[in-house]
Amino acid sequence: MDLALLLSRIQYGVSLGTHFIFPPTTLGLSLFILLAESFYMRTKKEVYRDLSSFAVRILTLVFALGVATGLTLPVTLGTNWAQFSKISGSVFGVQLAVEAVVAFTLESVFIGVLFFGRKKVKPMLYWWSTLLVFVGSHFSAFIIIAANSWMQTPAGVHYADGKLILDNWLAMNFNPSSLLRFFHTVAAAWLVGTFLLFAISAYFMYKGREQVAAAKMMTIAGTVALICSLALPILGHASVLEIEKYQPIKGAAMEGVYNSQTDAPLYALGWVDEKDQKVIGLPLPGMLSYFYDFNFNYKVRGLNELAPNPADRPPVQSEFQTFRVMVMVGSILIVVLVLGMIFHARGTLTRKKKSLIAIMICTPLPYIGVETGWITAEIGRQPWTIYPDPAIGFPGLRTADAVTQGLNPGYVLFSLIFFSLVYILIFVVFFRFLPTMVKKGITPPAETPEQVKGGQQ
Amino acid sequence: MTPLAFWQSYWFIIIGAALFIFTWLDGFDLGIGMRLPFTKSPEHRLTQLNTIWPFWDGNELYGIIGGGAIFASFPVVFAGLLSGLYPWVVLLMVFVMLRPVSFEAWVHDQKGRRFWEVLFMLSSFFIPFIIGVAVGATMSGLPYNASMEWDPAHSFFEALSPLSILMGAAFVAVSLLHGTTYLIRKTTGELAAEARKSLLPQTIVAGIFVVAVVLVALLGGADLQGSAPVGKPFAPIGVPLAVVIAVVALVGLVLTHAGDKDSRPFVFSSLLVGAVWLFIGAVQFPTMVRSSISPDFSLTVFKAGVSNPLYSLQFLGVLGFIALAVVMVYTIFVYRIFKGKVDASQDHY
Repeated sequence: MDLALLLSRIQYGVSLGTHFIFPPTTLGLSLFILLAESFYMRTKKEVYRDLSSFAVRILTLVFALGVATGLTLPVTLGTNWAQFSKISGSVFGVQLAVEAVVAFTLESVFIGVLFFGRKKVKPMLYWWSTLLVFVGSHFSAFIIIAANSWMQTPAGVHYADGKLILDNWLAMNFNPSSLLRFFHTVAAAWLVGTFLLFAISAYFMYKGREQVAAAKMMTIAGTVALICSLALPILGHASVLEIEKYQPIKGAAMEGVYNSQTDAPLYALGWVDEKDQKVIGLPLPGMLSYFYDFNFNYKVRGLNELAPNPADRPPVQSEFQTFRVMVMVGSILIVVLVLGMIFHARGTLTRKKKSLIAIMICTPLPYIGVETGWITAEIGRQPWTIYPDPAIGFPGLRTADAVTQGLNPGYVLFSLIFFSLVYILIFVVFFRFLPTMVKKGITPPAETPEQVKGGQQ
Repeated sequence: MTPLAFWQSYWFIIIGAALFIFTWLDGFDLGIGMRLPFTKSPEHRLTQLNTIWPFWDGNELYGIIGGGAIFASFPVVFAGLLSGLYPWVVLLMVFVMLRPVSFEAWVHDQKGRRFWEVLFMLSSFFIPFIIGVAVGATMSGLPYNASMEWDPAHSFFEALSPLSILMGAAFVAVSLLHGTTYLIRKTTGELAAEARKSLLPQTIVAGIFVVAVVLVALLGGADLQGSAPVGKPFAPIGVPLAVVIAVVALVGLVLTHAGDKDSRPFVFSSLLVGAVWLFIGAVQFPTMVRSSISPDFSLTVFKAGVSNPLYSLQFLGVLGFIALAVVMVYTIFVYRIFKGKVDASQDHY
């Protein structure tokens, strides 16, 4: 593989993988804040206001780092993926501009009100701000997920002079896969954000601090997380069916199916032997056929039929494994959340120190889930950056052709090193200061001027 | 004028307007950032950050909108410029990322604040500098060839010309000055007095760089003729107008630097920012990027294949206009919530 292409792919993967930690957290937190603030408006109980403020403090850190890591992404489309930008400019340019003007402005301006406005605006206006941040961040998510879905299932465009020309913005946004992917991603994002708060409440229970607030936080965050964790397998299954319909090659790679077969087994665990074209592992006989069509006689199409040329296939092992990691993480989270919420409802969770520790250990799991899910979706899109669409005569854009022509690999290496250093700094800031902020408590005492001065000597 | 030509011109103006608003609003954030480590008292440094804290995320957005607008209307310019200026863009992005990171770290890291302040200052310095260099380079010319791409035989150092370096310096000097006038507007006491003291020297420095940019551009650094049939329609009116506004702004700053009206210097530094962008737009239109290889290779908004087709331009032209109007309304609304003088209190905690 061309060195500039390889480095560009690594760079984009590293950048997007880093970025993808923060926006899902933002989505989940914005939902929690909206709920807590609504309960506060209803009941006027201060505990809800404190919970909302606590989540706002976390949100500001997460949001700032999300913005910092997000800014490089569209810019990298220009620097490293210039061919892609030129070919899809009438779609991607418009989409990113709409995102910036309509969604992102709303989010960032009203996050300012959330963070600074508690004492300056009336409670009703503050509630509206929480709603606008929620709407802005979710609208932003929709626009970006729709753009990504469009790369997988193009719509609303025609192909002329080697470019994809936008004809219908709504059709482009509501392409065959965008709505389902939006719901799937948002449910996962809510799980990410609320599970973080769920684990933080477990921390306070473990330490015996903030008993009232921690219990309330666990009720709200845990309920949302539980609902999402249960909804995800359903949405995930719908996504699998959608992939089987529109991107069957990706689907076959995810299951390691080489030869078309009826009564196809589903491997719960396994290792793809790419050379001998088989999976070694734990098969559930006929279950794959059953899952696709509720019919054991359903013929599952394999890679050899769908993509006879190996150059048209994504890396099978990677697809097979990342997909399974995502499913496994989701299953573990369901168990943890169901048990945790049962104990919490009985009021016995605060005494179960080991359960609380188990919940805290699970904190990284939702992140592993969304990252592996994202990798499955995007590696599965390979070798295409934009999927072919025979209906409009579009032969597809291969990732190898999407990269900037004549790109100097030295430049890419230079940017990869510099960006990685900044990302390391971002991780240090996040992992050092998020715990610091949490340890200050849900209702921290106001900082005194002495502390401010003392810290700056 | 064909509908396509209308929307192509419209987008040129929208991009210019977004970049102007970016340097006008985020300009003072950058200026405040450059001043930060040089403010002696920790309490004053906190006050200084409090003046921009609620706004700067929203302000930075206009830069994203400007960049997004280029992508949305002239993807060839977006892709060509970013890939051609690759190493400069990477440096710019590093500082763009470091600014919010150092800000957040400053908030939480009581012991390391000095370090984060310096990092914040460096990013606030290099962001306007690199943007200024890039803007100046599109005026003085970049090695674009017949296929509308950066000619591989030319090095990225060709972005450095007398005009582009002076433009970078002017962006830094004007942002610093703008931050100072903003500080005068938003603070009281010693901190405001310190800012006032630095206003006259900063006005002189900014004035020198702005005058130098204008002189170098007019004396051959930029292309004022363009090529037939369009030429440079706005240059004969826009350039003198920009110069007049700049003179008014500089004289106004000199006259008000020692006065007692706290908002006046900010008005004049805003005028100066506006004059700079008016000058750039008037000299450039309809050129987005001037080619240093041949005038025929310059990327103009009307050139075939440079802009997106009519539907994209029109759709986003209308939607974006309405959306921006709404954004303006709520941005002004939020600014009004936080209006007035700022001190070292920490309400947000």
